[in-house]
Amino acid sequence: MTVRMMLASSLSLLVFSIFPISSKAGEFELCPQIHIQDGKLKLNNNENALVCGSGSGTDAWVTIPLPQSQLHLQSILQNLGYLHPRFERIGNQLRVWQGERNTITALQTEGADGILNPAKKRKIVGAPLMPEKLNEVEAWANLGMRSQGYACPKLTVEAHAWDGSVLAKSDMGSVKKTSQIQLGDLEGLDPKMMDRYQPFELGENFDIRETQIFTSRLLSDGLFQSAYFVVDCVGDEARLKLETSIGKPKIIRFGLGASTEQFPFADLSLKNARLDNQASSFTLTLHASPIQQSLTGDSELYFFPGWQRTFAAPRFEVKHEVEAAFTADTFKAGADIGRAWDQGGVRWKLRGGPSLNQNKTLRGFGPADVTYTSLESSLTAMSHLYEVFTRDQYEGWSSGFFFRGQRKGVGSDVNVNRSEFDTKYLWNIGAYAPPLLVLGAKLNAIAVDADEINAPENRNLLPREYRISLGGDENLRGFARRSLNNQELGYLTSLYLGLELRLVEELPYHLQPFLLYDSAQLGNRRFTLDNPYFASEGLGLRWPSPFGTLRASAARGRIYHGDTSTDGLAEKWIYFVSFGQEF
Amino acid sequence: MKNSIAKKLLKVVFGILSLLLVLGLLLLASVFWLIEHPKESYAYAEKHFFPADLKITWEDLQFSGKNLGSVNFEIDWQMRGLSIQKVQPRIDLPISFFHLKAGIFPKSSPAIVIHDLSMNLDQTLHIRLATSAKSQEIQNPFQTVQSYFNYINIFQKWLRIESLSLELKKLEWIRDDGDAIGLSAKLVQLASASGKLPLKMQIQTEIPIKEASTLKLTIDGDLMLDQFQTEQKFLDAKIHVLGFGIESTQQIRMAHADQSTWIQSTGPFHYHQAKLNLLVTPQLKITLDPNQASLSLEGQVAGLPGPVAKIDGLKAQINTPFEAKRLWSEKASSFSISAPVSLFFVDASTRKPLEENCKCKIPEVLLVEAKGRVWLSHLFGEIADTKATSEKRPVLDAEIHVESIENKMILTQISGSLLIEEQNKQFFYKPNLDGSIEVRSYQGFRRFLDAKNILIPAPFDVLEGNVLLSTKGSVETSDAGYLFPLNLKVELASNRQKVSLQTDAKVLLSSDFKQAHVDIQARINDLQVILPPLDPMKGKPRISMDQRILKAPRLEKKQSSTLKDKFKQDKFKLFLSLEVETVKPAAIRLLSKYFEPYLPLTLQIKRDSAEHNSGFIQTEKFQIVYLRRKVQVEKMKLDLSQADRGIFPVSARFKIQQTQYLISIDITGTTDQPQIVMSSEPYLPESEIISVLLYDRLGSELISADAEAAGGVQAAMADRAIGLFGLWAFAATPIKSFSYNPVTKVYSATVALADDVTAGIGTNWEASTRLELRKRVSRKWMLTAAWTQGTGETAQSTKLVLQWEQRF
Repeated sequence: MTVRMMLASSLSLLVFSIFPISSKAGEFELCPQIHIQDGKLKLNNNENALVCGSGSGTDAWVTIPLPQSQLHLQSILQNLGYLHPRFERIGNQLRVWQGERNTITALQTEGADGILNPAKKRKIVGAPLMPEKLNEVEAWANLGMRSQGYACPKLTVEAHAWDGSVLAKSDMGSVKKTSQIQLGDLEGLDPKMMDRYQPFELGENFDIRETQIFTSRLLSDGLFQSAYFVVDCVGDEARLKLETSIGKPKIIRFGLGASTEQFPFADLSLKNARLDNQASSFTLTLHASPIQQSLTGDSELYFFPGWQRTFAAPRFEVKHEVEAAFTADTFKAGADIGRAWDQGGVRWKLRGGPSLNQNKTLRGFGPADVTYTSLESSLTAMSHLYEVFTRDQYEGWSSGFFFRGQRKGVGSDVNVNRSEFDTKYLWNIGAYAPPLLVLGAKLNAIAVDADEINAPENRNLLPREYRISLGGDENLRGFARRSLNNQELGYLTSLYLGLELRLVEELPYHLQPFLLYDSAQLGNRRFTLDNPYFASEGLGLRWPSPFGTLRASAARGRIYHGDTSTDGLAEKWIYFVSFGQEF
Repeated sequence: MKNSIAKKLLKVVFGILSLLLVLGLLLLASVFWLIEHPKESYAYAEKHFFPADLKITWEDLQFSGKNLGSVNFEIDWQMRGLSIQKVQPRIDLPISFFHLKAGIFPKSSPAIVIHDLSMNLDQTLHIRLATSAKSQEIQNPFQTVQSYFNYINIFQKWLRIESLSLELKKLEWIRDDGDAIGLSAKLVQLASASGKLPLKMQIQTEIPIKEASTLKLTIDGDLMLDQFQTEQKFLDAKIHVLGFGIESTQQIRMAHADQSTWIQSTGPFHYHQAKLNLLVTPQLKITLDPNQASLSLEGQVAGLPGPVAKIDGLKAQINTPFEAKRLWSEKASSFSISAPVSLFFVDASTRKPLEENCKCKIPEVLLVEAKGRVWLSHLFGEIADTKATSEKRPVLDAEIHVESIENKMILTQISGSLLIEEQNKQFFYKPNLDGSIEVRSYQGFRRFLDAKNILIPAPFDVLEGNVLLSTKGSVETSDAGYLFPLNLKVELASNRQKVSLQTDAKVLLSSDFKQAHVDIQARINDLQVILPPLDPMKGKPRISMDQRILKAPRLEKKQSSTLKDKFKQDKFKLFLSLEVETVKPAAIRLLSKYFEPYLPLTLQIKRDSAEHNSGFIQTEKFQIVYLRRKVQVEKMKLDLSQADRGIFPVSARFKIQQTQYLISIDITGTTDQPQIVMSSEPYLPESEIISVLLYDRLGSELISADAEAAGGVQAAMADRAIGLFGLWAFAATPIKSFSYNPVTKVYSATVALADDVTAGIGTNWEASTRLELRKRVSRKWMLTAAWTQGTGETAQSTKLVLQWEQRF
């Protein structure tokens, strides 16, 4: 072979490798023998093996007969919504036209009038007519019926390719009432202790969401390793059987991580989840991060006979904090009495008790060394709807009232009460599934009542945990974190109202953009809101990742009727990126 | 003496002549009286001579006659409003106009010359003729035709028509079965002194065949009687037939001369029924002479079903001997048919590459030949003598032969014979088959089918070897029908695959040829095939069609079922009974990298023609090796006895050795609702077994996330969200996390491919639940996202923690 020939062959090889002759412009080569004429098609490895062949070896499955490839492609394309593909075979080549993608033109229900409203189901009409969407309709219809008393419905979903409609046909049966809960082996635990986890009463209409809340509570307490319900419909009754697996009582955990507040941190915890047959528990946690080192002990002791929902909660905390504004050592010990119960579709929790506190301020404002007693109590309420959609933040509400007080002469130098009311409401506007727009409103009101410390010169007597400061991604998002702090003295009164309008499932990758508006007024005196009015407006993006919610916001702070207390505060754009923080 | 005798003789002669003269005068007077007094004459005749139920009336009658000299006469007869009615047989002939002008020339030939014959029947005529019980002299077809032709001879000798006009608006002939045959006709012969112009015929008739179906017959042609008894055609007509799926226009020509008659017919014949669209373009010639009839047919047939498609150059010949005074001769008729069948299943574009591929010549046509004898006298039940009825008489003795194909790809040898015998008008069929189709090169045959887009699926597409389909022997006949054998022998192999099976089938074809029962017995000697190289970790192949997506309305299918049902009634019905068995345990071996050494199967399946099933499919011992786990499958048996109800009882036992525990998974119940019992040695409760199965540790030793995963598996099993396959997969797969949503019954799992690589199976993020928030990093380390609800003082937050956990 001459040099010229070698050069020519090398050149032609190069040209052909750059411009493959087998593919025409606009064609997509699925494999050398199969070309898509109108678009692209992505196959997974197994599909590729069944359509194009494994390509290696000397026996079966190396190549696939074209009629077989065609058969498989027909199914694959159906799964992608292409219901009328066209194939043309020329010799050993198969040309494929995917055709128009069929879309769902209507969603109809049959046999579930008044229970399922197809007009409220989003992301179906207009979507490709494919099995994935039919699964979505099935899940929606199942949830809709099973959450409204129909525990064992029979459901069939069919799609009509000729007109693009999807029909969900249901035989719901009768409304079932939860008649009994059969418990599995609890390994010596008192079955009555399960009452404190149970979000519904026997005799109520079955709601599968409440069984989910039940098992979620059991699992989050760490007592059970697994828990699930088996539902059996007998007549008009839904009989539940709770299958559980109870782990060994003591758990030791060590973790390294990061949070919105601290980065990095290390945790070492020891928990005994089964101190007695009432599943009383005790947890000891050692925490270390650059800004906080602490040792906390917490417990829930259910030793009140006949009162399975009521617990005693001795606790303590030793903490060293290094914040930008201060450095402090804190010790706190106390004992609470608490009770959790469900009523009217709401989870209530009441807790309160005395504490002995010791604060040492090593740097910054605050009492240099103070020891006092306090009374702390809280009443929280959370709708079951909120509990079900905690991760999604779609709808429901939660509220809480928190009180902390200390009395002069009872281990304290001042009389001071701190009352806080906090509530959040989420509206799924239009009640769509999934929601289109979620409007969130948050109200927070705090009042610190202390006569002696109204004067700024006495403010140093006030323990830091009584002082109010706002700003940051928890409330006023147009201001830096805790930057509204009354020249680091802290405020005594505050009223905050935040609004957020979030667009759901309209952007790719489940990104949820939102508009925000926050407003607040603060007061340097008890029960008084002073003139400066703070507001912030902006926008943000929420991404519910598998590991937690990632949020980013950009908001501009506004100060109306500013005075000397706002000196040093600027009206500017503040940007937050937070992990785990919700509105 | 002599004079007296002569006188006496003269007297007698004179007397006779006088008498004849008187009689002649009387006859002449009668004729003239008849002509002058027709009504009176008719009244007299009606009273004394005509049948009592015959009634003939007319409105106007004109008759005139004149002597043309000598004994020649001319008559001119015209009638209006003539009606002829008779009760039995029913005749109702309203003739609005009748005119006959004719000359009578007794001494000439023809003796009668019709100058004009016009008849107009513009009302519907009704005729009902009873079947004649009068025995007629038996004639053979030639004699029958000849007797008709004799009439024409007589007609030609005595009669000449110079002008004819016969118009029949509608004739309704009511048959014995009550159905009426409608007929309208127009016969016109233009005026011609020579009478040589053809007689124009236009005849239309409608013959009811079956319910709501009528056969329309139209004849449009010329009858040229002057060409009768010449070599030239005396009939040239177009016959158009429409109805009962037939549409045909045949050009019929007929000639008769010298004791020989021939009939020719040409023209397309179209038959359309359901999917069949048959087009025959025949050239038919029938020759009749005193000793035999010969029928020869040539032509093309297109639109045949199946691969045959077209017969180009069909030739058929039938010779039937005649015997005088017998309808059909006792001697056999001989026939021969030659049909070159075009094979259209290989088109021009694929023929050449295929021939190159198989290095063989693919024939374009196959010659199908049939020849034999047929005894028409026996076929049509003519009894020659009483002795003949006591024994079987042959009706048909035919041999059929299909041209052999022999090349490197295929060898076909198909022939057969058919003997039909008759006894007491019952027919007995004795077919005999001798045919074989041998696929010599399976690969060549596969490519041949592949070119036609007919699928031989992988993994069977790479095999090579022989396939032999044969049938040999006499066909047993009984009341049930005809029974014949069909055998299939397959010997195929590739590098690692083997297919060896023998199938014997008995085909019972019903006597009416409307249904067949096929009884198949298949014995699998050796079947080793490679399973597709799928990897559970590489994505679920979306190769099953979702039955929820309907392409046509179900309702419409039901509506159209009535028509389809009607069609189905006429369709050929096939009843299949099947018996498949492996000749030895583990005769079926499925090869996969996940099975060690392979998946051995033994089966025995029986399905009768009523679609009742029995039998089983079972695996022999083998190991599933997947990722880092080995599962011993002790047995797995699927009972098929209730398969027709969709119930498949199953019994299976898996064994898994996990460090110090030997876990047994016993499955009973049905495939839809399997009951899974897990046991271990040493003993562990079920939840612990799942923990050990998934994580090789007891539940108490698990970190919480793993324990939740194990619980999820148990929940999904209880909910039957995990079927048998899922359980097998989980038993064989090291699972690292498991998520189960009881509302949607969707599960997803993360499995470890290797020590440091994991992959998710099941669903995507949306379908997964909170358990997805934890990801295992190693045996003890877990990446956890913990979410805490905010309180008044502590904001809600999420922690991302790399966590180690130990329960004790």
